[in-house]
Amino acid sequence: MGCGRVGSTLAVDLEKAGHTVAVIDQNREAFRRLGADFNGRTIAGVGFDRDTLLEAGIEKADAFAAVSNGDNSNILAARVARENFGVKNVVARIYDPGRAEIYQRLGIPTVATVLWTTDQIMRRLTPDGTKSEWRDATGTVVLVEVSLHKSWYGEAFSLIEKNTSARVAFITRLGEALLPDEHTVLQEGDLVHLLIEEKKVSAVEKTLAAAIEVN
Amino acid sequence: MRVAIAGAGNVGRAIARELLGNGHQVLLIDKDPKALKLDSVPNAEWLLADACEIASLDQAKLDGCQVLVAATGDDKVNLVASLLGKTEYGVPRVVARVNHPKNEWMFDSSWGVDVSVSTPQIISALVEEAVSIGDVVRLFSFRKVKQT
Repeated sequence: MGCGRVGSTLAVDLEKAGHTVAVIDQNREAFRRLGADFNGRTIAGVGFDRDTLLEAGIEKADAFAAVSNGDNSNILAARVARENFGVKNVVARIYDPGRAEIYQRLGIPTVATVLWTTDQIMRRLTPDGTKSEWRDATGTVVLVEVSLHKSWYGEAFSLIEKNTSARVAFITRLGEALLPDEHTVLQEGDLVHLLIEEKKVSAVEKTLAAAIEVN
Repeated sequence: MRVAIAGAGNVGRAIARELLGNGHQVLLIDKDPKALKLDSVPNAEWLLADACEIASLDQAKLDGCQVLVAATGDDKVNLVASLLGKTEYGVPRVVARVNHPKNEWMFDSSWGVDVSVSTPQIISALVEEAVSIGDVVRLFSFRKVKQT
């Protein structure tokens, strides 16, 4: 649902991958974005309207993506597809970060465009800051690379988890990635990749950039 | 009783005046600055905000409201505001306005709506009543909601 830049690209890519696609948009003109080679069905109508969804073949659909430019339309359509038509694989694009988090909690996988875009731009603007290498769709948990104060060298990696709220995902040592086990000891030059709640990133960075505090 | 009303159009303001007259506290929320006609309901609290955004609803202290009335002219907004009011703020009673009869089927407990009020349906019921005097006519129904 939604045949803007995202919707049309998605539809064309899915078709190329061998799937059958139906596209819904309120504005018939939008279907021009699909190009002449698109063979899927196009339905002009409101994406959360039962009749429109039925016309698009929602009853036989394996997946539904709500990518219109309205957060409310997207969440309405995604929930109707899932709750009323039993489509198991549903995803909604949501701009408002606050709402994205809630819908995620309600069981609707969301793609929080604003958070993701901001993060990407921040990474290019401030290359010296914390590099977030990955973030989950709601933007709550991030994977970040952090450097350590020298007092951490020689300690077991598990001390990081003990002293902070972060989890160690992996360590880059001498250019190679390694998954730490219980015997892994931190060495000089190690880059530690942490899974962490975004709001706690700066607190954890501060802890790791300072000499170890004995708890 | 504290009541939050999303949508300060004619419908929202009329409800607000009625409730204020009965001694309740009323908060009117609208995202359009032009809709904030403070003089028309001077005793209400006013909030310029989008009732579908968490930040706005936090600001409205929705968790302290006994009733939420979703009375905007947009069914999508009414449904999303109802859902957020019920699931995020535990508002005991959520009343939502149906604008388009085609959307009426969605206004139930799965969207956090306790009572839906459909203007087109009420009007058609009143017309029905006018032409068939003496019959019982359904104006609207209170939905039974499972207590959790």
